[in-house]
Amino acid sequence: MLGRERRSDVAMRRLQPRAGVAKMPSDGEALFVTESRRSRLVGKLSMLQLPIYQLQTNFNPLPGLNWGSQFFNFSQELAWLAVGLLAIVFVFLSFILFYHWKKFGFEKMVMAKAALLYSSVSAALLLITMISLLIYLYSL
Amino acid sequence: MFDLSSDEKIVLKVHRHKLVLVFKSFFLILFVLLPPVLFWFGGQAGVIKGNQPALFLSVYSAVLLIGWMIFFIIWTDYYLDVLIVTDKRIIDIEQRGFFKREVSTVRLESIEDITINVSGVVATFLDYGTLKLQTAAENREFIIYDVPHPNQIKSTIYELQNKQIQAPKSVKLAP
Repeated sequence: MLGRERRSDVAMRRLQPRAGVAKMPSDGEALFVTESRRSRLVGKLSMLQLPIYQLQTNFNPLPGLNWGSQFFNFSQELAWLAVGLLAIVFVFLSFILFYHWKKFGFEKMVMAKAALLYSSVSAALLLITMISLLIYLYSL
Repeated sequence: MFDLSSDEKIVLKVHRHKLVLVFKSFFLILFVLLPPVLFWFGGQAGVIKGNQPALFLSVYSAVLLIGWMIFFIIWTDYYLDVLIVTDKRIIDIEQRGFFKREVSTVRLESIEDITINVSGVVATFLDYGTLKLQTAAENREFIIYDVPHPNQIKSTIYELQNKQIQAPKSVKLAP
């Protein structure tokens, strides 16, 4: 009886942590010790561990510009249609402008300069638009 | 546009001050600045696929072309607004859009009074303002806005008016 009590006392003492002594538990007490200690250790570690920074936001300031979305189906035909429309507006507007400059303009020299500047820059811009659109569509 | 009589000479042709053109077309700076900013954001968000510089150039030149056309519409409207002073009358042509045009005429002898209104810091420094001609005609006031050097124009009109008053009038004698 005494022997059993002593043995149980010894076992209990083994379970209790001693200050300054690091000790691995034996096979018999492994289950009980690991379960309780693990929970305590996990708690302590989670308190000590620095929070891991994770980017929460998806940086997309212009979600409406998602050209592949269901709202706007970007296609080659549509792009060419837009450029064609721009060209038609340009031709129509040029006709009106030239008519006004010819009919109501006073200084012929100023009108000629304006006509030359307007036509050359507009034609260059329209040409750049078409060529770069062609390059872009081939790159897709 | 308007017909001058055979003995009528144009003395002065005045457009509005150039600052008016600058103010009117100032918003066009958005056409220059906005596409690069939007493309920068688009590039950051990764929504643009394919050859990015080519797409940028295409859209940017199209936007610039629209801006260029708008600028010339504004310039035409500005340029066709003109005040013409002849040795006999004053003609004010006001272009309102492409298809509306007002031409007002007042004879020099019917001008009773000329008032100049220069208000504001910019107008004072750049010397432009409103010219008001009080006439004896049915349409009593004749207002021309944003005229550069209004004092010079006023003195020119008075000079011409005095010359016309002092000039001997031809009298046709009956046979």
